[in-house]
Amino acid sequence: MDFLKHIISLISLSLLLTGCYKDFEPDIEQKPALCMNSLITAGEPIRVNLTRTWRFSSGNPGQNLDISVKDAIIELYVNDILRGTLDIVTSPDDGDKEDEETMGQYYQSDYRPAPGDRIRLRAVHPEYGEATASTEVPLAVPLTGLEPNIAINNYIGSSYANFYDIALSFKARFTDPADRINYYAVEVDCHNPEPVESDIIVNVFPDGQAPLKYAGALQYFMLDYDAEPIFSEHLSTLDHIFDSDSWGFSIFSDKQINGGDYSLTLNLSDTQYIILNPEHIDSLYHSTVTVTLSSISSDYYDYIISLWEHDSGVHGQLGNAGFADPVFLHSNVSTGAGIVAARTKAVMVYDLADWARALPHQGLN
Amino acid sequence: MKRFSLLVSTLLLAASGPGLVRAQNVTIKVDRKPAAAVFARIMRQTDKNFIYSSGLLDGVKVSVTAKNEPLEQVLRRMFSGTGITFTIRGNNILLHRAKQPAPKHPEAKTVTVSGYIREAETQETLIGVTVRDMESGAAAATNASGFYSLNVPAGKARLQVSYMGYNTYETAELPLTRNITYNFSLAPIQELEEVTVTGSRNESLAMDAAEAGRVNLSAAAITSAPVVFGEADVIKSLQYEPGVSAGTEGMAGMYVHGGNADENLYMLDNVPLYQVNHFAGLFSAFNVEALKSVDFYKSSFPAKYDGRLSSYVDVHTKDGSLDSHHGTARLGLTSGSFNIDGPIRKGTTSYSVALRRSWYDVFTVPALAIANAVRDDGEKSKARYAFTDLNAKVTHHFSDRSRGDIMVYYGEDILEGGSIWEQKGQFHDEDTQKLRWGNILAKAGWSYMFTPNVFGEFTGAYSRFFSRMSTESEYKTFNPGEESLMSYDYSRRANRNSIDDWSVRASFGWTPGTHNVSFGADATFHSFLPQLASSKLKTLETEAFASEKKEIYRAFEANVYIGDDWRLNDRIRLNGGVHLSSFTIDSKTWFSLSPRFTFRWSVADDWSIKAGYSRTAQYVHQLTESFLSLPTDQWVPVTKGFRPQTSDKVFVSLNYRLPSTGLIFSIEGFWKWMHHLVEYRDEFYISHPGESWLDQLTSGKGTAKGLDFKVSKEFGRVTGHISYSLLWSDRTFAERNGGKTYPSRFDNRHKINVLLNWKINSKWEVNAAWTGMSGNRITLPVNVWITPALPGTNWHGGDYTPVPDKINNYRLPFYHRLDLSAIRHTKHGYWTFSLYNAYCNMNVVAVRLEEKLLSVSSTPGGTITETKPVFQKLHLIPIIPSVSYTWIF
Repeated sequence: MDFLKHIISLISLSLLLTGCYKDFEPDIEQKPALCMNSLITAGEPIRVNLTRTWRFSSGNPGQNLDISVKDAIIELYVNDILRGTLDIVTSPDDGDKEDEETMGQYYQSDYRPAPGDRIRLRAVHPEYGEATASTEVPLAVPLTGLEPNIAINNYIGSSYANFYDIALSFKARFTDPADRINYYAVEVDCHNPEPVESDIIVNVFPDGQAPLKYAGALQYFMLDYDAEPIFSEHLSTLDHIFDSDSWGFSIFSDKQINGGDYSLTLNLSDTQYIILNPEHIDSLYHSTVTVTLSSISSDYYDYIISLWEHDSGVHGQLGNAGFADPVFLHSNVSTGAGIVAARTKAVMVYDLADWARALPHQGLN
Repeated sequence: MKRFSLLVSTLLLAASGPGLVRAQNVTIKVDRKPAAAVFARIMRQTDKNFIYSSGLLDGVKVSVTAKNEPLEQVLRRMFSGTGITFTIRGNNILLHRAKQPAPKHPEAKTVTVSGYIREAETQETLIGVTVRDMESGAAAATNASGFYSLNVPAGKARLQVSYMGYNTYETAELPLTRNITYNFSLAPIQELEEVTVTGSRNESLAMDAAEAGRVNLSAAAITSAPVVFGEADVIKSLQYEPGVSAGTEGMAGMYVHGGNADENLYMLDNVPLYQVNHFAGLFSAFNVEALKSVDFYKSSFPAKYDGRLSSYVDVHTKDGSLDSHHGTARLGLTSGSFNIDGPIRKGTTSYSVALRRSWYDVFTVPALAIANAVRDDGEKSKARYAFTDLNAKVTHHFSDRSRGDIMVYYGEDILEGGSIWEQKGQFHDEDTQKLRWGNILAKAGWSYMFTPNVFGEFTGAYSRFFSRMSTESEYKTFNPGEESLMSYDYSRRANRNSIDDWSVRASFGWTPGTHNVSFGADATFHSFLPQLASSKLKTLETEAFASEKKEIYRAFEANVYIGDDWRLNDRIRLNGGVHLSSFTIDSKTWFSLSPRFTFRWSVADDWSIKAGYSRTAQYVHQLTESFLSLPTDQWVPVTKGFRPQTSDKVFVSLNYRLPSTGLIFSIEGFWKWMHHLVEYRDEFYISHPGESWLDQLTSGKGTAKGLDFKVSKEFGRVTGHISYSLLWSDRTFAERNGGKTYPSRFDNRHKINVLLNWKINSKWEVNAAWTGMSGNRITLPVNVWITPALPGTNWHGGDYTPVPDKINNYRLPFYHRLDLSAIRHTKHGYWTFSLYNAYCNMNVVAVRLEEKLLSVSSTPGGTITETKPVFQKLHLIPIIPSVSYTWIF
């Protein structure tokens, strides 16, 4: 349990705080304003989610409140030169997680920014006014190496599939450029080959009979954030003492590695490899792990850090309890609502095929 | 009505012009009777009226014996030595104060009467006792050492020594040809029915002193003020003063005239104290059982004081009885205390020891032990909180002129928490968090009367403020069936923050003629450790220890001051001075010249006008992230990047005393400009590479202005005050609120206090305190924006977050609360019963944005919850009854 909560609870107990909450409507007016969210990625089209702010008590977006802004004009400036306006695009309702944020639509430009571009977005709406934000697309910082370490902890072979509990980690190396301040984000993804239908027909509940699929799949629960100390560099000693942690955050700056080489330790926790491939179809061995090191803009970094502080940091805890000023999420949009962030990705992919081919493999009975 | 009649008489007299004085004889015999009572007998015999201004006869007693003698002759004898003269006009006898001997004439020789004033029983010196020469009207008050020095015309004097709660003492006519020492012992008033109090310290401060906004609180006054949990508290007593905002509900905060919490200098026997609270500010660190009195300055500051912008709280501790051993033992709802004092060597050396400790842990530790015992999952919780403070003092009287003391103070809070989870022979998982913070103070002092009008005090002191936090975790697994370890992980992280001060101080008082000159110097060596973090990580194979760079700031502070309190004449009193300070840190020396000036003009009897200007400077400040007093708050010095904080303040006040009633009316207006204030900047929690803690700060300014109105009744069976404050307070920082000016959090526009004490009889005393004020300000965003998920986190977005609005844009609802207490004196002590928030008005302390749950329903597809976003006010602290018993031995 968070130790700060211990303290606050103790204070509350001692005061015999049989407190109560009562609903009310504050007599403060704040006009709705444009909210502009965008993650600009070097080499990819620019996509902007434009919504509006709303009075908190007026409803829930997506349920009884429409916050989408459809008839705005968004101008794109690259290195202070107008490159045109963005087009509105309606996204298919495919249940994508991003759809929650876009409210089914977004604005898009075909311009694909390059590292070093200064991007400025200016949105104008007849009712909600104007919002501007600018950011600079960071220069790429390439990964210089990706070394895997794989060990089998447990193996269960059966007639249906082969299960391997494995310990899988990577050392991802890069060199931090010394001539500037850099911020980074790390992502790790798995990609598995498409299953292949066999000639064997099996009973499948409740659909009756279907062909058996041969497949190879690497699955992991999540990145073990504690294994890489640089992910918690933003925690102060007080945060440690108050039991705040950085679980779920793989963002960092170069404050500890300025200009030097660094090797990230990326442990994948609760990793399992499953394969059913009695015919040794080679494509099924090609599960891959993609490590992405993104150079991110300072506003991107600030947004994530403020988000962490709000949810888990000491200041956020005090603010949420009403004992300190609130922690606001960082915004670089002129209305104070939204974040226009930029990144340049460096990607390395590791293919497990060689390792998978050599695994003990029990076939079908 | 009586005053009205007198006024009419005066008008008639003015219209009639000078009349003839008829010879009229009087027969009378009175010995030391109140003058007003004697007039009735004369009026019956002569049919004449006495006309005099209110207050003229306060405390005046007369003696005269006459048998059929002319009225004028009788009056002359009767008023001889009282400082009062008379004129007979027609049927009226006009009384007025005799003109003071003009001190500027060199031929008018003056002599100095000086000495100590003590309590008769314990021989404890008394602070703030008024000594008045009834012949000349000259007056002086005892200083913090109980010393007074009074210059009077050579010849004869009659001294009146008065102090609230003590019998007034008057000497016979004293022949004065040379400087002389008179020590007095005052006996406390024993029986309520016999109380005839003629004045009080605060009445004198309000009407006679040049200073404004100064209040003296005795330990008894602090004890009788009703407070939460019945825990007598210096700071909470001061919260009832006009111009003082209390801060967060229930806490011992103090925000004086729109200032910040760290702008008050708390001194314990002349030594500054940094940590003045226990338990996140719920209680102040001063144990009232150890105190003699408290002086509080909020408007004008004597030249002696500097180092803070808003107020000075000078806490004086008890010396201990020179005569016999006394003590008290108190058991209250939250803490207990034990105090004992007495002679080590009768008549010369005394001691005083006061210990206070909370006893929550007496409940929580066994309660947790029971709760842990009944758990069957192998997990046990740990939690403990305690605060302790100890005051100890030894005082030795070397002679009538020389006195020394050694004083030690130790105050500490301990908070521990954690858990243990274990399965025998399998694993052991334990984590512990500890916080300890407080003060240690050691001081040696010596005071000496060099001549009857030169008095000196010398102090050497060491004080340490400390705050330590640590978290420790240990996880070990055992080999099956063995006691040997299979794995072991240990980590310890700790953080320290401290200030060490070594100081020497010399202060002098010199009273030439009608001047009261104070001057002195002090030097303090500070060692600040804003933060030191360390970590230790250990496994079966490895051990690592890391410590952040120890960043110690060493600073040298020096102060010199001189001030003069000059009683120019009977009507005008001036108090001026200058305080020069320097602060050297990081090879940079800051200087500050702080002039002070106040004057009092008695425009008429019982009316006084005061006005003044003060400049103060502050070199250390407290960085606080919350509205509580937490060990995470750090005291840091002014460094290269920031300038010392300064404040300029002007005030004007009007005071009126309603004669013979004890009622004093005062109204004060002030305007304060604060410069170079230091605050956390917006988004200070986002730290970029290469930034230090200094980059989290921003510098700015503030202004405060307002009015304080107070009606106080200082003596009688019912005492107390009613006050009203009007305040505007704002701040402007370049990196806060977009550089725009915003109201301060405790910009409580209106504040009303009613504090009453009724001494019903010798056994019962009841107290009531009602506070009503405009609510504190908070930052309340009402609009929200939808937040995106960005790669690099496992958080998926689609949530919302508030749009920043102006800082402190919302004022919480009007705050009001009534506290009651009753004290029942018994043969061996007294009971204190109290009700905090007697009518249970749970005030609003915070606001939150909440998704209110409306309904939960189960469907084949899962659980559906229906919510509604609402703003909610948090109401806290209901009625809290408490009782304590204090045993006196």
